[in-house]
Amino acid sequence: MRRYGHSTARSSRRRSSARSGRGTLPHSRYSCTAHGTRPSKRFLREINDTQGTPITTWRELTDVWVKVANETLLATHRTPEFLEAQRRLTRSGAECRLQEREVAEAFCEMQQMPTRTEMDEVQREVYELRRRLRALEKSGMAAAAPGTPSPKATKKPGRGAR
Amino acid sequence: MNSRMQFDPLQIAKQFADFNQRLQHGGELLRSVKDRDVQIATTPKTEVLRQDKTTLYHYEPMAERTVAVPVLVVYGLVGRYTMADLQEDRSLIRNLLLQGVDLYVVDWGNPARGDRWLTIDDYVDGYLNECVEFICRTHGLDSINVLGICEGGVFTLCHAALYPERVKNLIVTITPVDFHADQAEGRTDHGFINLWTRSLTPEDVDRLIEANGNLPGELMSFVFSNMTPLASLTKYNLGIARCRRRRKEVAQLSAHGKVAGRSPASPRRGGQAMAQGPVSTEQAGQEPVRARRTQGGARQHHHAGAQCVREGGSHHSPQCSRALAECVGTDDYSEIGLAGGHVGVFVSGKSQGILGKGIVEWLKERP
Repeated sequence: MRRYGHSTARSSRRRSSARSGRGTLPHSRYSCTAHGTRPSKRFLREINDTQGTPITTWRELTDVWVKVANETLLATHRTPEFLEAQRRLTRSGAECRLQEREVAEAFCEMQQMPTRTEMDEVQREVYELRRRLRALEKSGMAAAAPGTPSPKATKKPGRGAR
Repeated sequence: MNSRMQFDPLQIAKQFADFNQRLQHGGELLRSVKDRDVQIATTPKTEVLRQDKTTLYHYEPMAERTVAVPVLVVYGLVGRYTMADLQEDRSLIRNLLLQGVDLYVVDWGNPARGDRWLTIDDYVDGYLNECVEFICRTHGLDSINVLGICEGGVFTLCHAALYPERVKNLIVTITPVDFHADQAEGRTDHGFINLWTRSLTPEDVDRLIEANGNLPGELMSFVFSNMTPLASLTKYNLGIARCRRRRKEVAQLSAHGKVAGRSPASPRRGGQAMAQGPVSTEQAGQEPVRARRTQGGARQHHHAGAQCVREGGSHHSPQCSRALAECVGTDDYSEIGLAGGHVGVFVSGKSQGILGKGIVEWLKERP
């Protein structure tokens, strides 16, 4: 039987931990304006670089823009601020999904339906049984004699056989 | 003139008009190409062994056999073997068959939440080992050639360390060995996946996998699309406009998207080990057998080995692959350099033939 009290306390701790993490991201340094003007400046520098080959077509200009935007995005993706923001987004998404699961499980229990946790437990038992069976087959203790193809082998292959 | 831009206004107007026309036509082409028109992994093959969701296929020969010992191709759980057999003119599998290789391939299937407890040990010592044993039994051989791709290369390295007597020659392509080697390079177009996983704490990975059951395939597809973010964003608009009004080009563009966008999930325990491996090698101890039996076990690789390293930008650095040279116990070790990005090695027109030919020649020298 599920222990709601225990579960709620755990959720509360998680929420509290998530709250305590707020404000750690340096928002002032993560300004949209700064990240928005940087590629424009790089793009202007690139097209005004007289050492480069002349740009005579719209397509060449687009290629330069895509190259600059790509490099800028890659550089942004590697900044500690971006990585931390992405980590927190990934974590928050996971926490949100786990909270949703708790709500869904409470509903399932009320409706006498199997919960995700119970299904996971059943699947784990199936996995462990499969693993034991494989170990038994391998050591020759199962009915299948060692050294023969798996009973699930469909057919012996031959050259050109379909 | 202070700018590189040397535009003739009349030409620009014409180019804009042409671009608009191409974009419109490209949109119509894209609408006309249906899912059934984009067929992938069409090289004829036969299912010869099935274990749970893992399937072993044997390809039909396409030429007189030139390499006596069969080759088993092992792709990773991230991505699918179909990347090595994308289309008729972009297929490593087809290139190898046309050069007389007897070829098998493992397909790990689509792991679902029910497979979340599978470990790397289950894949390496269970499924992969059974595939190798099956091929050895079928052909009456003591050992076979193994070709590992990406994460599949990691599996084959672990397997070869556990069962060196079963591996005649081992080839790994684009396989990361040292997950930290990217840091020494400092290149922005390399090692995004290393950097991203290093930014996660072990608890983040645990919670992510607890919430999803597995390491979601969609997440990995998202990470891959972020390797070249603008190229991914402009692929189906500017890219379509550049397809020269040919249906085949649109189908090619879609074929890659069809495989890359449908990355299967990595089972929970295996996903945790792979995601946390780059964070700290000690944490790989969560996979007891892998840690206990194969760490340092690469020294047991006394069979001939080759690593195919690509030089282009990728989610892990070429240095991550080159690290293998320092770990193997054999003197017969080769490195084949290739142009292009990660899966670009298999799907780009430039690499077609070079990789397959390099592999076959290397195998012929080691019968």
